Amino acid sequence: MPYLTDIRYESLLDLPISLPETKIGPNEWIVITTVKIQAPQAFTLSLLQMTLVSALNVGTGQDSLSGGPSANGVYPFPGIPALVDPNMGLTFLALYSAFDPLSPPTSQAAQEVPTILADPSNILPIYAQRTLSPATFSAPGAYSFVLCNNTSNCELRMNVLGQVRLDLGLS
Amino acid sequence: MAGLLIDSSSLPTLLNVPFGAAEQALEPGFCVQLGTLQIVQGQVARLSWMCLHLIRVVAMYPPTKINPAYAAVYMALYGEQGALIQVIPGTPMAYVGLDTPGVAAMSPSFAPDIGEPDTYTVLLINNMLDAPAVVAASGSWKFLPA
Repeated sequence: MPYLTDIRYESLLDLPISLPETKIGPNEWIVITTVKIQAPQAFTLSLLQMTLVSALNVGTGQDSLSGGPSANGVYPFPGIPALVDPNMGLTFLALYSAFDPLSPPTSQAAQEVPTILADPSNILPIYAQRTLSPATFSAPGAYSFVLCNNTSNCELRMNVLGQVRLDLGLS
Repeated sequence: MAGLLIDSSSLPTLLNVPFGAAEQALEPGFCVQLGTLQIVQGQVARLSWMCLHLIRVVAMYPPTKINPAYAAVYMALYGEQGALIQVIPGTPMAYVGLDTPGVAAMSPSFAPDIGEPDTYTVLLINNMLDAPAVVAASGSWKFLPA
């Protein structure tokens, strides 16, 4: 394995996949970031995690925050969520190539297995983390990280933190 | 850059400084500061990356541009005047723009090295008079050895 030189270092960049706490309505999705690469560029994804901070059941009006924390300092999940796609959990974060923002993410093919936050365990906040195995993407295209609220009756407050390492292919 | 090995003493001086904004609506004629970087004497920074995703435009098409010399939505690097923005400023030092929904990235071949002490700001600008735009953007500075 070669050592890192300053010339090689010029070609490497860390880019954030960052979303501060943000409200996402039922069955809505947002693009967190997009990385467009062309040959010989590539990027490596190794860290991606998300937190479901709080939830409001818009059907019942139950709010995970209104009842106050339990004795353990955690908040109850507000009722039984109705899922749009029963296989994708409460919410999921996925990487798409040539993402169409006008079409539901569940109808598009992800580049790898999405990070799914699936556990309505009646305790908030809930965390989910992608496997730490690095994955490298080098096919030219525009890659988008998309966060989707997979419930049809809950308004979710989420945050996301992650990182990709971009190789500009300069050397 | 001379092909020197990076060791544990030089690594702490080599920084990636990322900035960006997740999907958000930008009102017509509006701009947001994605990040401001102050460079002092002896520092050299390179704006290595800018990537703009115009997700959708909510308007009749084509929209009316405020400054026809630039794209409908763009991100751009400005010197000191960018931090004082009240109106969309003049010629940017680096630029990525889109007229229609899609994704555009800056060519790293044109990444400017900046050693002039100043305050530099990257702005995300909706250059349309009559159309809100939904955009996401990211970028990164890289500090280089002086």
